[in-house]
Formats: sequence, structure tokens, C-alpha cells
Amino acid sequence: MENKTIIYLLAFCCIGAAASCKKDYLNKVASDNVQVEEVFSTITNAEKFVNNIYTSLPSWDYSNGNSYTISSGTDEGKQIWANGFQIFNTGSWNPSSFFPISIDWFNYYEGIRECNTFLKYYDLIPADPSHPAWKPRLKGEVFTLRAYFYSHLFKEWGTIPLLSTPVSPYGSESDLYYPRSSYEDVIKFVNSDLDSAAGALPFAYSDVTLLGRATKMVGLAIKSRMLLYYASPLFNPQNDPTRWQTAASVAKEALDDALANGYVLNSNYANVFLDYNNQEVIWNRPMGSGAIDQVMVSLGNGGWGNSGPIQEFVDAYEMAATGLPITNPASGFNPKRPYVGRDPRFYATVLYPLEWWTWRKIDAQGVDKPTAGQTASGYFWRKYMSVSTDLYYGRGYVPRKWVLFRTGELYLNYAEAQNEALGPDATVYSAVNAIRNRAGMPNLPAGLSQADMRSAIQHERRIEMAFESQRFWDVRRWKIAEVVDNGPVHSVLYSINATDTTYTYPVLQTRVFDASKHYFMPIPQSEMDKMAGKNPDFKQTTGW
Amino acid sequence: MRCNLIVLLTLLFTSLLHAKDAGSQSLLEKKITLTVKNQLLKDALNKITEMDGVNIIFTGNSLFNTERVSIDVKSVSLKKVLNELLAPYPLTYKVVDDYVVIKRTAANPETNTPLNGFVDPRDTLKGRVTDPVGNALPGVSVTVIGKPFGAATNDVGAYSIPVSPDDSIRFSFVGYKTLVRSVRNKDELNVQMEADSTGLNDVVVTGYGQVQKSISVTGAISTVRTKELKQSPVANLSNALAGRLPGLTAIQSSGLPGSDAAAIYIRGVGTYGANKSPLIVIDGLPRGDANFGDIDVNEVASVSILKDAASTSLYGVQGANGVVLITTKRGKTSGKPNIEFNGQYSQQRPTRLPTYLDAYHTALLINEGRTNEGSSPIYTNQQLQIIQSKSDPYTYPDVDWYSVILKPSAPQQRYNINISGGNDIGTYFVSGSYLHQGSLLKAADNNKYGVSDKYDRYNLRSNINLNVSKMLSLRLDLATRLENRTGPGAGVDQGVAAYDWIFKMLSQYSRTTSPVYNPDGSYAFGTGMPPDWRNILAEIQSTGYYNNFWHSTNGTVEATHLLDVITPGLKIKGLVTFENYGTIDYAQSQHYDSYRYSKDPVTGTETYAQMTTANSLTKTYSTSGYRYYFYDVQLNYDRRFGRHNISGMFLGNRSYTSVYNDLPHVYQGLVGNASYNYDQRYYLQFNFGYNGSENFPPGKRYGFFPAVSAGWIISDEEFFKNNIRLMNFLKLRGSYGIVGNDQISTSRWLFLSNYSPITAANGYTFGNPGTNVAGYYESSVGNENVTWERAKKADIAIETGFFKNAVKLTVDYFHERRDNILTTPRTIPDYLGVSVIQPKNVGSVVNRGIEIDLNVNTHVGKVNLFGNINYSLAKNKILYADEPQLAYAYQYAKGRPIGDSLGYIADGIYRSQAEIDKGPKSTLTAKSLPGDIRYKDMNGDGVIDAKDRAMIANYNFPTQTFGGSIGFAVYNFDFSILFQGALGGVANYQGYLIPQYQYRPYQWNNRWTAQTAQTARYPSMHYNDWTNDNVNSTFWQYKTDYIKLRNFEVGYSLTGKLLQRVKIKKFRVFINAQNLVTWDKLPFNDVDPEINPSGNTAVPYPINKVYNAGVTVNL
Repeated sequence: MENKTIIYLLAFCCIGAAASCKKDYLNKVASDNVQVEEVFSTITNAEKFVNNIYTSLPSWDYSNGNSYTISSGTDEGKQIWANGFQIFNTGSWNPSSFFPISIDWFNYYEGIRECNTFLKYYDLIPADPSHPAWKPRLKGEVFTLRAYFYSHLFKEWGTIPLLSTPVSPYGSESDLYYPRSSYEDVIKFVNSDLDSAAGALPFAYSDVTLLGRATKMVGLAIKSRMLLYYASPLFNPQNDPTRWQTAASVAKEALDDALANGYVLNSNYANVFLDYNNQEVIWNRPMGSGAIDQVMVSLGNGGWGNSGPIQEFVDAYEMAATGLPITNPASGFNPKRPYVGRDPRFYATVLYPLEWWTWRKIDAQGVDKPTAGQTASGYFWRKYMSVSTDLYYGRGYVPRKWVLFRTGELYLNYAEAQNEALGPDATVYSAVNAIRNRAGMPNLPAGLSQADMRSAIQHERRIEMAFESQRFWDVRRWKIAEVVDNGPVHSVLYSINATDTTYTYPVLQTRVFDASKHYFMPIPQSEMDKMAGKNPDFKQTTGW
Repeated sequence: MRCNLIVLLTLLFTSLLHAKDAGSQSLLEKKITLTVKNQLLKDALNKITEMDGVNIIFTGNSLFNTERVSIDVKSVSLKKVLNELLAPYPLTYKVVDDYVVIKRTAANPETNTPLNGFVDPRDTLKGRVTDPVGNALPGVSVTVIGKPFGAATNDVGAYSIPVSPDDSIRFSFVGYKTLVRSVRNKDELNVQMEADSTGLNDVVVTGYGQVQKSISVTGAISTVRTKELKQSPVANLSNALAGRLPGLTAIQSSGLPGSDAAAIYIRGVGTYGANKSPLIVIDGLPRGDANFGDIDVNEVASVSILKDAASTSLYGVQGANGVVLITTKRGKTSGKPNIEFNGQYSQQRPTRLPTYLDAYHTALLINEGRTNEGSSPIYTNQQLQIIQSKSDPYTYPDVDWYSVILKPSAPQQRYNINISGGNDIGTYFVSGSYLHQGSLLKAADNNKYGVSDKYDRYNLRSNINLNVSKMLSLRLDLATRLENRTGPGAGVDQGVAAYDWIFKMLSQYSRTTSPVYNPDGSYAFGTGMPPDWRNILAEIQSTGYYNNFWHSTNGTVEATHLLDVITPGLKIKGLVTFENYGTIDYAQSQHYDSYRYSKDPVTGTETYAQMTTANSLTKTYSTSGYRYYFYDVQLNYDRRFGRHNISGMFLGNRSYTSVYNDLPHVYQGLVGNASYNYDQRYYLQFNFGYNGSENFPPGKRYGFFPAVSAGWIISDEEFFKNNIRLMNFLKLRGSYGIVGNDQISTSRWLFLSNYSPITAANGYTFGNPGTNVAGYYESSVGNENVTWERAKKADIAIETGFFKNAVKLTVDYFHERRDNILTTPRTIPDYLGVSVIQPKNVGSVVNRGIEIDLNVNTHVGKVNLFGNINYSLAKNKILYADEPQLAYAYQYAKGRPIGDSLGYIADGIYRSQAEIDKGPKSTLTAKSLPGDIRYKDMNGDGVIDAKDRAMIANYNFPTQTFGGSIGFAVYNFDFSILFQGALGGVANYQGYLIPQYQYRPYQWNNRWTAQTAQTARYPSMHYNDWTNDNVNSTFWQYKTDYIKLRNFEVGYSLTGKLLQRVKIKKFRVFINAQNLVTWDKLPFNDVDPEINPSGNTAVPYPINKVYNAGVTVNL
């Protein structure tokens, strides 16, 4: 071959190589991946992304800080299974061992990351000219969700890291480490989120397909609950009265807006938890139709009877006729017939021995008795349970929703804050009495001192919002857990002879609450280990 | 951008070469300093050779030995010196290649005619070339020094070549010492070539098809050749490597026909990442179907392992775990074709099989376990009596399932025929092979569909080289491999491979589990069988069959063009290769009828409860396919300037693999190499790979992987030669460089975040009535920084030869630090909210070791004796694994070897209840019993729980491997033997030793009982609750150190007139064997120490001993 030919050939090869390299040969489109552009380039997809953030909302089940089981971590009930919330009863929990609420730490931050991701890419989302409110609505929902997640972390851990962007885990170490922000900063952050959301959201949706999405009303409810916590003794040891005043005014605003927008008390207390839609519920999480029955219903009905109310909780129900506690000799309470004439909410909340349920009587010492090694109180929960459910034949299931916020709470939030801020004025009475009257209970006696009113409101919250994941946190913010969750709790036994039924109340469990550390959750040790030596600003919860 | 670089570099390279057009006569311009006084002409010329490295050849004239000359010059050109020296005599000289040839002035004045015109055959020289034992050596290259022609010996070692009386003849042959002889007017010249025991003239194949003389290699490379490979009668080539190569660890963990390959590691493991295996390179190229073990051994010329950075950096981003380089055979320019036939027949027998207690003892242990736990025995005394007397085998069976299911041995056959040859136009090597491996399943041949249980393999290869013109040569290789595995339909409905299923059942069934048949001849389903178990025999005989095909075809075309027109020594090569491979799997499976038989002890009524029901065949099938392309263009330069030798290579490549179920995989890169040596004494080499992998994000894809290496042949120094006698060879070499590993994860696109859709059915509920809606979520957060693992490797070695290379010793020390190991971060705070954190490149491991290779090759009289001992040590340690600060220092992986995991430290067994009461309380079980394992309370809190787990070894991987072979050849006999061993492996036999369903003899012999409380070695029997003992702990750990008699071979070669009369050149019969004996320290002798038992209860298909007889016929 000629000299020149070869050189031409070489040149040709080079040109060929250069030509084929215009695009990076290695730059394959990973077409089986869905990229951020695809999610946020249409508003329908962006809405889907928001839809999924709702799955981080707490639900009735699992061991989160808002579940049914949390009732057995306090003086409402007891779980029969050895795992889970039992360890809050025995005090045998620590940052290194699993404790049920520890999973909230990750779950809520996972939801927060999704919110932050949405907000980061919000500008990519094209607006829909024919539905101008659509895009801002999504942003309002996301701000509300983020505020809600932070409000949960706030009540559980107090001081928490505040992240407002989706942080890459692969960046430099200094980008990964956040301190725990103060209560004030958390309140500011959440309020600011809620204020951002308020302008974009309606109080209620007229389009029924949107029901369940965050509203302006939800934002107010979050704010109201959070400010109440912020004013409470646990968070407000100096008892700064302005916090109570703020809590009262926000609660008032929330209550007024709720009532003005149709969120009024349901005349039937039991139905608040059974009707798929009812006007009292401000926010909820749909929870399917049969699972809660499966877990909660007694063994004789084919359920697992996972937890039940304790005697102390049953005893808290007043007598309906007198409005007096059963300890008061004037109340009309008959120890021989303890389940007669009680606060009507008792019958909507508790299944007691020998009460009828579906086609049979509850028999806690017979077929409803748990297996050996497990101890039960003798009571079962009735709130949320649908009598039509037939677990044996898998039929009669009714879809229900787990209540996150309802107007009833707003009344009590207001009453409590107002009583602390200004004392038991008429608005306090009327708020508490509104709740009592709806249930069929008489008004509170007039002339209560501020302290008496405080006790009355605390009692009312316990009864009204039993099994709604409130008590566990209320006894903490009031700093009374060291009293009510410390010491023996009781179950019920009965014996029937020809003429009479006799009830006895053996000790079910002796509970332990260590006031030096149990008020706030510890950061899981595995998290502390990750930051040991690297993030000195991130400290373990006091006492742990 | 990168591609512009390719172009730029290519242009630069070529223009540089243009600039430097050195003359071919430069040798004569070499400056010579010479002082001789009245010495023989011969000595004067030799002195030039010695001092200045000029090769001067002078033969065929007595003048050299008689004439005396004097000269005293300083820095004068060689031309002048020669002119002065030779002027008085009828002698002339010319330059041929690197030689100066001095010869008598010829009658015809062609002294300075160019090479090509030089043809003056005056005589024909004939002769025969043999080895020291007298065997003919075919294919020896015979050249006349200074003349452009040569010949090769034929199949009986004979050659003929035209010569002039004063010519010199050079005989060269790979593996033998090159000889130069003078013609001296003879017309017959028979020579005996000595095997080059040094191997220093061996060529070594390095990356991308480069060939180097092994003396000049500065990297760490070990090679094993056909001869040794063929001694192992194994189906899979990978099993022939154990003990042959220092630095290589081969672990065979199953003997399953067609799936018995050994896992190969080079210099241990240097990463805890996803891929610890070396890159497989066949004929210079990474292959998609890297299953090199299924290439027929007769096609393979050598298997090399590239160990250090200098030899692997050419493979850049893929080379960090070392490279296994397979070179296939090519034809030789021997004239007549060489036809070789190989036939072998073997019997494979399990090295070890698990043994189980008979039904009676099993029943006793079951009862004992129940009693220990405080519950009532299962078997009454009366029942025990029946079991012991075997009087009711249907109700109380005692079945030795292994003997019901397995044959004592399985046959293996292999046949190969290959033809090779060639001439000036080209060479060829064509080979066809067939392998048949039967299985040990006895019943499989009774399969009613006539599908037997076996593995068949067909290999075809054709390697062709063509010299199209003086400047252009072509290589055309085609190879194909077809495999067919058939077997019973067992496990198909479970989604489990048939053998896995069968052997899992076999190792779980106790002898009491079930009879094989019921009294009426139907398949039994014993009362001891849980419902998800099956009748093993029925599973083999009556479940249909599977028929799986594997096909792999590859073809390569390579063109090499000399570019002497640009500059001598330059050539360009272009190569295109493709590969198609994949599977066609087909199965027809069904169920069978089986019955649970029972007989009422009182009434004698027999009942048959149907447990499984026959159905008709159901077919299942699947296919997979891959297509791989690779092409490269390379420039090669190899040139000598006096004592300066320069060579270089520059290559650009790309590969593309289409995958049937995924996006294609691509690579591209540049490879370069520059070598320099001075006087073949000082060597310096620089290699680099600059390449990229699509596994990484833009900007992080390409890496530059350089390596430098150097060698010094001390024995060629004057001071050495003059002073040291015993040691004839001494070389120092060392290398340092960086290599990458891009196969760091089993998943791709680690750098991309992914959003996954959620269907409406699984979505959140809004609205009234409630309606589920679709969603999206961030399913993984891409690590934009993900990149390859980086290995910094250093190697230093000393190579020696003693007694004229009869004994050679090479010692390597290596140190590797692997960084960027892909590690699942454990220090990412949860509050970032990332659900799936992709791993980060943060881990570090150090891996260090030595290799020693001792070779002996000598003659004792007529006996040719050869031996090899090699030893490798490789120890790794995790330096960093992104662990959080742990409460207990003993739980850190950092500082421990790769493969450790958390487990309890056993502290013997509780000899009595008193010891239990004293010791820490175990939370692993509700109630500790005497005879339970006692664990160390590591944190001293009085309780045994997860916090007491420490990092313990749990990875059956040896830190030391060694091999020793010795052999001799005398007359027509040859004999060789290979021992191989491994030390430092630790394995956890928990799954084998804790009785699940089956009971083993060592449990019977050594368990805790009240009587043996003080001497027992194994825990007491439990029945329901083994939880205290059945955890990962040191109690079940045993060292798996072993030595195996891997291989031995005896051969007898027939030669002589009788054979020649039937036109057979060589006829060799041999017997050999593999895995004959295993010595180890396991206290139970029914599990092969190479099997990794961790986490397994199932003993896999046994590793086999192979007894083999075969013939090789050369026509």
C-alpha cells in the first residue's frame, strides 16, 4: 500500500472516531428511571407526588405516636401483646432499645423531605390556566403537611432539627448535621408554613373529590393544638402568660372559623368515629374497613383483642344524671351495678363485661380471654368499632376514617387556654358545656375556681377524646404523667351467682414513669451514634 | 471532548513518528571503544560484542581463529573499526536485523545488496531436531542468520534449508533454549534442543494481545500452560487452576454437572464491595460471557493472571481485582498439519457425603430432646423396638436417602480433535470438543420421558492467521460453545433449580422421615413429612424434566498493517469482535400421586390418604440473550536503537452489550503503554488506561489509571557475572499504580434519583365516597458523586535462577489499598428523610501479602525432573466502613478482615444447672438447659443479648494458599503429582451441626447428656427450642485448613517405527485423577472444607473425585 494511502486511512479513522463522539458515548438515557423533570413537568404528576405525601400522615395502626396503641401507654388502656407500648408502662425503655414512637423520628422526616422536594421543584410545575387555583393549592397542602409533621415531632421530642430543603445525603459532612432547634424556632417555622398555606387553601372543599386534602381549617387546627402545647407547663416552665393568650386567641379564631364553615359538633358522639363523612371532623385519615376491627375486637368475635381500657379509665366516667364523679357519694353510683347510669360517652367508648356486642355478650373471663401469658383488663374498646363487622365471615365491613382533628377539640383547646389566660369566664363555661351537652351531660357547676376549672377541662379532654391519641401527650404537657402513669392500674373480674354479680378489681400492672426523663422522647441511640463527635450541637434529650 | 483527545493524541503520535525517521544502518554508526593487542581476531570481535552490545556473528572461516590483530580506538564508529580490523582479510560484513554478520568475501559482490535480493542457495542442509530425551520436536523455527528465509521442523522434527557453507543456523522454539550452529560445509546437522528451564525466553501475553518476553516483564504475572491444565480431568477449566498459580485462590463449592466452576480470586480479596472477582479476558479482550471455565482445555494455550497495577492498569476502570487472561492456541508454520485426537473417560465420585444416624438412633435423640425440654417422648419403648428391628418399615421407616437417590459414581467423557498447521501464507488452528458429564442421581435415568440427567458441552474453535501481504496480516477467530443441561422437573413448581431442591431435601430428611414407597407400590408421603416436603425419589422420577440450552458464539477479525513507510517498527491494528450468548430454557413439569399410608394397630385396617395428586405436564420456558461488540484501533511501535529498545502501544476501544431485559452496557477508553529498556538490563515501563464506565454520572465517568514499573537484571551486570557462580539470574522488579473497579453495585444508575409511581389501587384515599388516587414518590436519592473503587497497588519482587536456571525462585510482596469502596452509609442522619440511601464511595481496605514461586527443572541422567512449589499469603483489613460510633468496640467492622459478621463468642457449654444459675442469663431462649452453649457476656451486664455479639469470622476464604507439584519424565514415561492446600479459612457450620430434622453421628457420639456432662463436645438435644444454640456464634466455627491431593498423572508415550508405519507421530496413554485425598481438621469428615456452609442447612451437590483414563494421538 502506498505511503499516502495509509496516512489518508489513518486520518479517516481519526475523523471517524471524532464524528462518532459528538455525543458522549456513555451517556445512555436511563429510560427505566423516572426523573424529577417527569414528575414536576405536569401538574397532574405533581399532584400525584403530593398525594403520596399524605401517606406519611399518622394512621390508626402501627406503633406511631398517633395510633390506637398509644392509648395503652397511658392511663386509658393496656395492650395485651408484650411488645409495643407495654414498655412505656414498665419504664424499661431507653434510646438503644426499640420504643414504638422512635419510628416517628424517621417517618415524619421522610414526609418532610417529600414536602421539601416538592417546594424545591415547585417552580417547574406549569400552572393550569383553566384551573388557576390548582397549583397554589398543591403548595398550600404541602406547607400544611410539613407544618403538621413538624408539630408532631415537636410534641414528641420538643427540640428538633428544622430542614427546609431536601438535603443530599452525599454532600459534605457539614451539610448533613443540624442542631436541635428551640421550641420558639419550631413554633415560628410551623406558623410561617401555615401562614404560607392559608392564602392558597379554602376552609372547606366544595368539590367532594378533594375531601381529605389539607384546608385552611386544618392549618388553624394544627396551630391551635401546637400553641396550646407551647403554652403548657412542659414547654412553658416559666408559665409565660402571653403564650396562653396567644393559644386562646388562635383557638378562638379556629373555633369561630370552624363553626362558620360548617364544622359543627355531631349530635351523636359515637357517630363522629363511625360516619365516613361528618361535619365535625376537620381532618382525618381513611383507614380501610376491617383492619381496626380485626385488631381490636375481642377474641370471641374473631378479633385479636389487642388492647382494652383499664379500670382507672372506666372509673373516670361521671354519672350522667348528676354530673358527679363516682367517688362522690352523691353521684348515684352503685358499685354493684357499676355500668349503669354513666356518662353516655362511656357506652360509646367502652365495652364492659356482659355487655352485648353483635350477637353475643362480652365474656372477658371466657371466650374473650386472651391466651396464656397475656393479661387483659376485662374491657374492650368500642370507639371506632363497627357493630356490623363480621370477622368470621369477612363481611359487613364499613369504611371509616381515623380522626386527626375535630371541632370538639377546638372547644376544649379554647376553654383550656382561656382559663389559663384569664380564668374561668363565661366563654370557658360555654365551650366546655357545649361538649358536655352534646354528649348528654349536665353543665359544669358554676363558680369553679381556675384550678377547679383546669381539672374539669382535663377530665373533659380525657373523656371526650379518649382513644384519640391525645391523653398520652396531654398528661405529658400538663406534667401529670408522673402521677397518673406511675403506680398500679387495675382490671376487672366478676362473678355471677343466682342473685348478684360481684366485681373485683385486681392490680393489672404497676406502672413506672420517671419524671426526670420520660416527658420527652429520646433520640434513638443509633441516630446519636451517627453524629457522635461530628455534630456536637445535636444533643440527646435531657435526662436520657 | 474526550473523543477530541483521542484524535489529538493519535495525530500527535503519528506526527512524532514522522519526525523521527531513524536509519537502519545506525548500528554501524555506533561508537566503539576498543583496545586489543595482538589478540585473535575472534577475541577482538567478541570483545566488541561484550563491551558494546553489538551482536557480531562470524562463522565458517578459520581466519578468525588464527589471525591476530591489534587496534586502539576510542569512540569510533563500528563501521570504521570493522573496516580496519577486517581490511587485511577476505572478509566482509553486513547488517542483518540487529546483527553484524561477518563472512568470507563472496565471489559475487552482493555484500551490500539489500536483504530482499539475497538468495544464494548453494547447498541444502538437512537435519533433525529433538529434545534431550530424543523425542522429535516439530515446529522448531530454523533460520539462516542473515538470510531472509527459514524453515520449520516437520512432525518428526526434520528440516531442510538452503545454506552457504559459512552460514550460521539458528534454531528457536518456544520453551527451549535458542541454538546457533555453523554449517561448516556439512550437509546434515542434527541438534538437540534443551528445554529452556529458565522460561526466560518464554513469551508472556499481557493486556490487549501484547506479547512480551518474560525476561522483560516488569509487572506481576503468573502463567500456567496447556500441559499442566490438561493434567486435570475436570470439566471446568477453573478447577484446573488451584495450586498452579501463585496469587490465585480457587474455591470450588459444588460439583454440580455443568455448574461446578471454582470461584477465582487474585491476591485474595481487596474489597467488601459487590464485585471481588477478577476481570476475565480472553485473547486480550474483556468478554461479555466471561465463563472462561467452559472453554475446552485443548483450545487453551495458557492461562495467566495479571496481579499488579502495572499489568492490569491497561484495563483501567475494570482491573482492580486482577485479570485472568486466557490465550487460545494458534497454528504454527510447521508445514504439514498436526492432527491431534484426545479421548478421555472418567468416573466422578463424591469426595464426601453427609452421613446420618439410622432411624433408631434418630428416634432416641428425638425422645432425648423432648425429655430434656421437659415434655413427653414422641416414641414409646414399644415403638423404639419396632424401629430398631425394622419390622414395620412403612410406619417406622429407616431410609438411607442418599443411597436411594445417588449412585456411587457418575461418568464423564470428553473428546477433542484439533488440527493445526500453517505456512508462509498463514496458520490455522481448528478444534472441536465434546464433553459429557453425567450426574449422581440414580433415578434420573428412569425418567419416564426419556430425558436423562446430564450436562453436554460442544466447543468449536477456528483461529486463523493470514499474511495477506508483506505489510498486512489478518487474524480471524471464531469460537462457539453450546451447552445443554437436562434433568428432572423437580423444583420447577417451587421456582428452585432441580439440584438445589433435591439436595436441600436430601440434607434435611432424616431416615425416619418417610418410606420411599407404600406397601402397594405407590409413592409414600411419610408422617414425618411436613406438607411442603416431597417424596425425593418421586421428585426425580415423576416430575417431568427441564431442558436448558446455553449458546455462545464469538468472532474476531483483526487486521495488522505495518507502517514501516512512516517509520520502521510502527504498525496499526484494528479489531472488531462480537459475541452472542444466551439461554433457552424449557421445562415440562407435573405433580405425581403420593399417599400417606397408615395401618390401625388394633384392627389392622390400612388407609391411604392422598397427599399430592398427579396432573398433566405444564410447560414453563424462558430465554435470555446478550450481544456484545467490541472494537479497538491500536498503534504499536517496537524499535531498537543500539542498546536502546523502545516500544509503545496506543489503543482506543469501545464496547457495547445489548441485554435482553435491560438497557445496553457500554464502555470506552484509551490505553497506552510505553516501554524502554537499555541493553536488556534496565527496564522501565509506563502503562495507563484512560477509560470510562456508564455506571457513573457525567463528569465522574472517566478515570486515568497510570502505572509505572521497572526492572533491573542484576545478573547481566559485569560485577555479578564475574563474581557469582551459583546464581545465574537475578532480577529486581517493582511497580506502582492505580486501577479501578466499576462493578461496585448490583444495580445501575446509582447516580440517578428515581421517582416511582404508585398505582391508584395502592394510593391514598380522598373524597366522598373514598377514592384511591395514584402517586409518585422519591424511591431513591441518586448519589451524584458515585464513582469507581480505586486500588493503589504496589508490588516488589525478586526473580532468581540458580544452577543454570535449574532452580528458580521468585518472591513478590504486594500492598494494595482499596479506596472508594461502595458502602451503605451508616452515618446519614434519619432526619434527612431519605428512605433508600444509595451507597457512597467511602470504604477503605488494605490487602497485603507475599507470593513465593519455586521451580525446579533439571536432568538427572535420562530423567527430566520438574517441580514447583508456590505459596501465597493475602491478608486484608477494613480500614473504614462508615460505621457510626458504636457503644461496644468489639462490634466494629473496622480493623477486621472482610467477611466478619456479628455473632456470639461461645464459652463452652453449660455442664450443669449450677453453671447456668451462676452464669449470665441468656435472653435467647426462654429456658436454658444444661448442655446449652454458654456465651461470653461481652459487656458484663449479666445478660446475654444482641449487645454481646462481637465481630467474628464468618467467611470461608483462605488467607494462605499453596501448591506443590513434582514430576519426572524418563524414557517414555511421565509422572506428575500436585498437592494443593489452603489455610486461614474459617466457616460456620451451624446449619449443618444443629439438628433440624436430620441427626448426624457426631451428635450421637459427642452430645451433652447427664452421663457425658463433663466431656461432651456438642450441646444437649433439644426438640422444639434450639434458639439458644442456633445463632451465629464461634461455637460452630471451624478452621477449614486443608491439603488436597489435587491431581496426579501417569503417562506413557509410544514412539518408534511401528507408529511411523501407521503414520502416527505420537501416541500417549495416560491415567490421571483429581481431588483424590483431602486432609483437613474438621471434626466431622462428611463435608468438603471448600464448601461454604455459612447460613446453609443444605449440603450442596458434592465435589467430585475424578478418575480418568485417556489417549492422545498425533497424526
